[in-house]
Amino acid sequence: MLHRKRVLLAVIATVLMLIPAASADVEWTGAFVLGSCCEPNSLDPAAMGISQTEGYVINAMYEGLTQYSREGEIVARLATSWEISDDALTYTLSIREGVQFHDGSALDAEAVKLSLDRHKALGLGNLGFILAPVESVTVVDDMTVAIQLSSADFQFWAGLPHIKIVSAQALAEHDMDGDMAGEFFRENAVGTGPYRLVRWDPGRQTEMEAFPDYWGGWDGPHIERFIARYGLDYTTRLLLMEDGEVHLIDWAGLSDVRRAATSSAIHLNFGNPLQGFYHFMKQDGPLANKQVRQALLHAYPYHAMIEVMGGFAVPLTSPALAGTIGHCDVFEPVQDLDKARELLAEAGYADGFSVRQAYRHANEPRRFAAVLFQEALAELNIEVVLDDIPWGTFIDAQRNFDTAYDMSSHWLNIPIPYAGEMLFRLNHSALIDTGTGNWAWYNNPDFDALLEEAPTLAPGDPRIDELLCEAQQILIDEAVVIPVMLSQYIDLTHSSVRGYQYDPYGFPGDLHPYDIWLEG
Amino acid sequence: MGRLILERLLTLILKLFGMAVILFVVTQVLPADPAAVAAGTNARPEQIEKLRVELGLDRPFHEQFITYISGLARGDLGKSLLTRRAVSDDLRLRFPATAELAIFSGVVIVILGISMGILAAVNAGRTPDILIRMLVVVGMGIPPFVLALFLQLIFAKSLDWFPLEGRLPTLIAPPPHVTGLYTIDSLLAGQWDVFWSSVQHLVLPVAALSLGRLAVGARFTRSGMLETLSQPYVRTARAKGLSEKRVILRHAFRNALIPVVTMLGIQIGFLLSGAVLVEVVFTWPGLGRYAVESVVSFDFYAVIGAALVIAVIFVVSNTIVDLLYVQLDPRIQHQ
Repeated sequence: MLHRKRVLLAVIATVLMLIPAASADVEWTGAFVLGSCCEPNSLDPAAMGISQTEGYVINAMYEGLTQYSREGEIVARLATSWEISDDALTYTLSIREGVQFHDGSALDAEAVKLSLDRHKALGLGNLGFILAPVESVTVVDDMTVAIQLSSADFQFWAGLPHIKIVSAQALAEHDMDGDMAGEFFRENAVGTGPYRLVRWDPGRQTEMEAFPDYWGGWDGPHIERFIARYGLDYTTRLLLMEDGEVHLIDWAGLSDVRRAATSSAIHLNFGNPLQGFYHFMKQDGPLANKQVRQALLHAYPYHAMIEVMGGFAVPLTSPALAGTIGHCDVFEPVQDLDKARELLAEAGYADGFSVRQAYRHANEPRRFAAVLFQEALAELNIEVVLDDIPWGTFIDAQRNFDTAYDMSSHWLNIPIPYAGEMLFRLNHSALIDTGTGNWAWYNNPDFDALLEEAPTLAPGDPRIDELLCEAQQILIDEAVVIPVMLSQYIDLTHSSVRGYQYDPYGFPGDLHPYDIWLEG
Repeated sequence: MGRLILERLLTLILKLFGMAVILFVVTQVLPADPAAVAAGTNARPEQIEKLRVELGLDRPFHEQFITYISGLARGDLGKSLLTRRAVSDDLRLRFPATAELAIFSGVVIVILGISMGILAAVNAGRTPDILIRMLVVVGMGIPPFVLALFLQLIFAKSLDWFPLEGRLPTLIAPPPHVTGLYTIDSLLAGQWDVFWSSVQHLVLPVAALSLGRLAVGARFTRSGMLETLSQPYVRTARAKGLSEKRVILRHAFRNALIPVVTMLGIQIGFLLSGAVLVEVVFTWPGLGRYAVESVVSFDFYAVIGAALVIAVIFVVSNTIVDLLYVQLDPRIQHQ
């Protein structure tokens, strides 16, 4: 009898061990399908650009040491606590205990060191600049790392949430000829995130499933599978969503919004992304004259643009975006054609002139903005010849002062909520002749110096705001760039989706699938 | 026949080389920066430069050209700027989807097109002929992508008879890869539900792609049949007391086949080019969509690779047509 009892107890114990402890109260609500236009180039977090298509899947499968809260504060993720030295050169982080990678290996300080070293060495993707100031990563003990910077750089700390930690075991097993498992991680994923990769069918979809041993545990309602579908055109995505076959459509256009408004099965979601729309004026010909540029700053139809956007945009009051560290209001976006005429007359251009403007094609707001400004400038006798061109052609032309357009408009987004990063991309002289920004060919050593000094200060230092505020004022005083608007990010969700909220700081494209569930 | 195949093979190599050279030169002189496109918008200059070096785009034109052509001689089509995979790997992934679409469309065109052509010719001037001619006009007049949209709205959205898009439902995994053709692979794996689902998903894109070509096939068959049916040997066959079925199929149809076979050979090329937009509409992850995405992204090596694959299929299908001529009419061999 005693033997039979022991056997029974052993069986019960085995069964209990096979059931994950945290899954006792979990309610799986099915598969959540994202309908996206585009496919990631790679699943490697070290190669991640700022494309949301990569972010959707990478952020579901990988985690960083820290993360941004919905309010934009840096909070714990794989690191539980940290200390920053007074000179802002040494960051010591305690690593979370009991975290498993999808391959069953455990997270420790060594894995963190290898991930950071790998990311820095590969230098792929658009987030490489975040680790540029890192001089060394040292394992202090099993669960503590110390990151030493060569020079203080605030952008490192602001960008650290976007640096994902990969499995050291997978890294060692799949290294091929010293490629740091680049080939492996391009099409495979071994992170610590709540969802793990099931398969990636190129051209079709990426499928992920809930990782049973996720350190956060599984309790309450969750989606069991997260599927990102690719190549769907707008009409097909909407038709699929009406039938409940797609649950989220990213980057909805204005026409989608109109269509979606007629369906009770579709909900609109809005958010303010870290992305602004700007109008650049190359400092050449009439536009080399500061008064002419100031006239154009006054002539811009800011509010007409917001109206055209159907209210899905807000005016910018600075070249930096509201909500970013270092932002301050430095101008009032109001069209004043009389003032513009006065300035043009003073500059000797009362009879106007002719300029060429380019914008990237296949985008409604860019076309609206270009046409509206063209009409406004026509009232000042300024002729604007518009070119609607592909991105590759646009950037090729903008690399050279002689071929660059007199005026150009473009969306700029930043991976970290730091005003200095946006100001750098807008007008730092380092970008001249690179085609990647500063299409005004603005070269002001004082402005550059402000941007270079601000990030050397420790996080939280009030002088960061002072320095960046001065830089924003310079751009407006010299009318280097016209901040047009912050266009709201719009996405569409099916009425069955619960727990989803757009996260502007979860860059790029963190949907937080762990928080989502489906109802009905 | 062996000599013909050898000649065609040599010609194919020369044609492919010529195409590769022309495409390479054209893509290089286009005013665009592929590295910047591949790096994405808002990339930092250092990232673009790193990518430019990694992809070899920083080297002089002649060096890039020599590297590409020597790689091509070894079967290396270069690396896609967009997917960062070898272009040959991408093509291996994408081509089966297009091949499946083209094969099913080809079968529909051959069976229905020829049958309708024979039916129209035999009933020349009567109701079946008039109806088929009307269908021919409609089929040839509607571009495949427009037809695709109509089919989606009517048969997928309104009637819900067929799936709206894709090769399989989102929640069904593809069968284990053998040929890449889901219908074949699912049969080989014994996955009947996947087979049935993949056939259902094929219906609308195949219909969109084949209607126009089917109309051309019917028209060619009809005119060929009308010509042969008026030949003296057909009258002789009828006078000998042969059944009408035997006269039509054995005597008239075989001789009417040469122009039809020519047309079908050309149709294979059209099927591939027509598939481009049909693939986009039906979210079909095939060669056509790959080519479109590559062109938009200035992914030059991928564009050249896709073009070369289509060229090979054109030349091979035309060679097969030439060989079929010989089988259909032995006099051609002597000439």
